[in-house]
Amino acid sequence: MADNIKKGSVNNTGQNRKKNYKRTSEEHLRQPRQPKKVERGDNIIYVSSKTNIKANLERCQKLINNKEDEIIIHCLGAAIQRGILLALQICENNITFKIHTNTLTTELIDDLEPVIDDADYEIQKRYNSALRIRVFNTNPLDKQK
Amino acid sequence: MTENMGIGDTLGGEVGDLPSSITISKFSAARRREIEVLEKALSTSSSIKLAFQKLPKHMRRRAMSHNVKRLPRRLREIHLSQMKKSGLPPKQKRPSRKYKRRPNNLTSDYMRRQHGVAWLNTHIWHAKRFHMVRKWGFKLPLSPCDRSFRACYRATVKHCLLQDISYYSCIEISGLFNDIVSGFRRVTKPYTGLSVAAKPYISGLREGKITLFYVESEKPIGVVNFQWRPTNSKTERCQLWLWIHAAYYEESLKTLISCFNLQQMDTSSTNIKTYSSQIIQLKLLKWELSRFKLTGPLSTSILQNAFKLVNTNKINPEWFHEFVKQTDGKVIPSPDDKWQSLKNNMSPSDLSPHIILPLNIVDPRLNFPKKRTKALPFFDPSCNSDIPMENVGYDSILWSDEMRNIVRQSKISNAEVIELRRNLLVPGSDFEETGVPVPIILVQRPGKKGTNFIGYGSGWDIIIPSAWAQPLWLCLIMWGARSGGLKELNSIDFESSYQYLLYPDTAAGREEENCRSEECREKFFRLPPNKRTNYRKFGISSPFNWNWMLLLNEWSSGTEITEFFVLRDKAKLRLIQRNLADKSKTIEYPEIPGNFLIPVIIDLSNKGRCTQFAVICLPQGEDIKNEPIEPDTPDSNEKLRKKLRREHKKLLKTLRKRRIRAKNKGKVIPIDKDMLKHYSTEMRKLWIPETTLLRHSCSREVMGIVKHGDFSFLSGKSKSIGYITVGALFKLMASRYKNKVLVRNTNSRQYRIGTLDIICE
Repeated sequence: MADNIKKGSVNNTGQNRKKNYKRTSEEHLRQPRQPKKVERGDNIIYVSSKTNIKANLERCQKLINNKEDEIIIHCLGAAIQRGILLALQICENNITFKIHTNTLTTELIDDLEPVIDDADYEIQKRYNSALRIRVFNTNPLDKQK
Repeated sequence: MTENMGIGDTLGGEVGDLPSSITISKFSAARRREIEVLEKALSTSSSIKLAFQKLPKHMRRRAMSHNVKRLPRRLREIHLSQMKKSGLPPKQKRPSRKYKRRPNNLTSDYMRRQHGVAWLNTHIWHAKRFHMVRKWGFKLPLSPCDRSFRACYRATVKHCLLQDISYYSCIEISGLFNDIVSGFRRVTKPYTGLSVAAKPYISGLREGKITLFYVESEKPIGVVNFQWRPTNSKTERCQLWLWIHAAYYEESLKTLISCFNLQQMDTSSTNIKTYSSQIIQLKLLKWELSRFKLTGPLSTSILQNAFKLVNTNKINPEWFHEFVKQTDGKVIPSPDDKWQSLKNNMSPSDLSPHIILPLNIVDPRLNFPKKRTKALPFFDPSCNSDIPMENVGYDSILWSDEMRNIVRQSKISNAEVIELRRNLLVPGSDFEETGVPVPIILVQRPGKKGTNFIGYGSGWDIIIPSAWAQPLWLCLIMWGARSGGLKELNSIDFESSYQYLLYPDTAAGREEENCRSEECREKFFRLPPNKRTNYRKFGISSPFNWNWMLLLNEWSSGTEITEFFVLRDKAKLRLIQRNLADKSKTIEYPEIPGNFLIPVIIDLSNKGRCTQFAVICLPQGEDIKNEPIEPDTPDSNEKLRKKLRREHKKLLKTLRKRRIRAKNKGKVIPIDKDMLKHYSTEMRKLWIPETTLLRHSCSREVMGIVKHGDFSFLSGKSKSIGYITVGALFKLMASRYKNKVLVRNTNSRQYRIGTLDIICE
C-alpha cells in the first residue's frame, strides 16, 4: 500500500532470522490486520481458534442436511488442528464424505503504527501455513437425484 | 273530586276531622292550581345540567359537548341554545393538509421549528423514522423507531451501518506550515500521541487525531480529527481541516482564536465566518461540509455501487476542466484508479489505516436503484486487491472556497431531475452520464486494533458538500445501508472497547455526566416509594453520580485534589497493561500523580450483566474463589422518612381544614408552595443522602465506577467500561491476582469477578 514494505528477511542483522520475524521497535507499534478471506460462500468455513468446535460441526451438519455436496474448510496457523478435527468428524458422521487437502502459505499483513512524529506507517509481511480441506460427497446415489 | 264520605274511613282518620260539606267551585279551583304547578314543574327542569347531560347513560356518546351531531335530534336545538348562552368556544379550523404542504408554508414552518436548534441536512428524513433528541445545540436522531438495536449491531458486523455525523463541524486553518505547527504545539501535548506535524499526516494522505487542550494548560477539551491539504512544498500556504465534535466546538474555537491571536474579519460578502491575523486565517466551514459515517464490511461495496466516477474526458462543466488544468491534471485522475482497484476488497479494514481518497462522482440521483438493493462486493479471487499507493495525498475540489460555491450553485433541483427523467425514451432506464461532478472525500477508519475482533467498526467516513447531503444519503440508503442514531454510535464505541467520546475530565464530559445522572434521579423519584430501590441497604452511597472527585480525594494520601484528569499518556497506559498481564512478581510502577483516573475495561468472567454506576471493588482474601455477597446494611433513614411523611400528612390535613373554613367565610388562603418544595427536597435527601464516603462505603474497597456497562454482542458476555483511581490501581497491582476485580451493580448484593484491562486506544 502506501507504506514502505519491510520484510523480516530483508533485515541484515541476523543470519538465522526467522521468516515470521515480528519486528518491534521504539518507533512503531505492531497492529496485525485480519487475515484475508480468499473464498466466500455458504459452504466455506473459516475455522478460528475461538469458535466452538461443536458449533462448527453443527454448522457443517446443517449444510449436509441441506444437500450440500461440498464443504470447504480453511484453517490457519494454530487453528489447523481444529480444522483437521472438524473435517475428520464430518467424515466420521457421514460415511459417504471424503477429504481432499491442500496445504498452502498465506501472507499476513501487520501495520506498523508510528509512535513518534518522525516515523511513517509501514507494512510488515509475515507468512503462515494454512490448510484448505475439501470435504465432498462420494455417494453415487445422491448424485443421481 | 266530589264529596266523598268514605275518605275518612279509608284513611283511618276520624270522621269528625273532615268538613261536613265543601263548596265545589272553590275546591276545584284550588285543585286546578295544584295541577298547573305540577305540569309546569314537569315541563321545566330546575337542575343546572346541560342537555346532553340529562340523557341516560346508555345514550351518551363521547365528545357530545363538542359535536352536536352526536346528540339525539330532539335535543340539538336545546343544546345549541344552551351553548350560545355560555358563549360558544371559538371555532378552531385546522389548516388543510394541502394548505400546509404549499412550498412557501412548508419552508416557513421548517424555519419556525429550527428556531434555537440546528438541524442536520437529513433532518426531515430522520424525523420521520427516528426518536429525535436535543443535544449539543442540534436536533439529533437517537435511535430508529423500528426497534432495530440488534439489527443495527448486525449491520456493523456483517453489513453496513450509516450515520449522519454532521454535528462534527469543520474549521479550516490556513497559513505557513511552521506557524500552524508552532501554534498547535501550545494546545496539544506530545504524550497523547502523534502531533499535527507528524510525518504520516503532512502529506495529506491520512487523517490524524489529536487531543486539544486549553492554551498552555493541562486541561483537556476533547479529541479532534484533522487532515492537511496535500501540497508540493512546505513553504507554500498550507490548509488544515479540523473536525470538532459539537459538544466542545465552541470551547475549541475560542481556544484556537486565543492561541493564534485572531481577530474576527468583516465578511459580509460571503457567509463564511473568518478570523485572521497577519499570518494565520481561520474559517468556519460549519454549514459548508457534512460528514457521514459508514461502518461494516459491506461499506466499501455500497460506496462502489452508489458512486459512479465522473468521466473527465466526457462533457463536463468548464470550471471543472479549469481546475484540472490549474493543478496540471495531476489531481483528478490518480485516485480514481485506486478506487477502481478497491472493487475486490472485502472489507475496509483491509486497507492502509486512515487513508484519504478524494473522488469526483456523478450526481447520485441519476442512477438510483429502482428499489432498495443490497450492495454486494464484486469478488474476483484472481485479482490482487493489494493496492500500491504513493506517499502523496490527492487534492480535492472541496478544499477551495470558490469551487465549493460553484458546486453548490450548480446543483440542479430534485424537480429538474424528475423533469429529466420524464423525458427519457425508455421510462425507468438509467441516464447516460450527465450533470455536474460532486466532489467527495473518503476517509478510511481501520476499526478495532489489538488481539480480539480486529477490524470491528471499520468503515469509511465521507465528507461532502452540505447541499448534496440529502441526495447522497438517500442513495446510500437505497443501496442497502441501514441507518443508525446516537445510541448505535455509543454501542459501536462500547463493543470496540473505546472510552465514551466525552471524557469525564472535560467540560463537555462533565455536562453529559450531570445530565445523565439527573435523568436517572428523576426516573427514580417518579417511582412510588415501594418500588424504589433502597440503595442504602445495598451499601451504595452514590447510586446516580460518577463522583470522581470524592473517590480520588479518598484514595490520594494527604493532599487535597481540586481537579482531576484521565490518563492519556499512551506509553504509561501500555506499561500498566503489560504489568497487569505479566505473571512475574517484579512490578514496574509508572510515575503518575494521585489525581488521575485510569480508563479500564472489565470482562465479567461468569454470569451477570453490569450496568452504569456499578462499583468496581478490590477483592480480598478468598473472594476470587467464590463471589462474595454484600452483607445487609440497615437504613437509619427509614424511620425518619416515615416520621416526616406522617407529620407532613398531618400538616396537610390541618391546612386543608383551615382553607375550607376560610372559604366558607369568603376568604382565600394561598397554598404555601415553598413548604411543599421543602418537604420534597427533605424527603429526597432522606432517600439519597449527600455522598460523603465512597471508598469504604461497602464491605469491599471501592476502586472506581463503571461508566458504561452492558451485554456485549461481540464477545457474547457482559463487559463494562469505567475508570479507577491511580491509588487503587497500585494497590491492585501489588495484590496477588493483579487483574482480577469485583464488580457490583447498584441494585444487587452480589459481587461478580471480572478481568481488568487498561484501555490504551
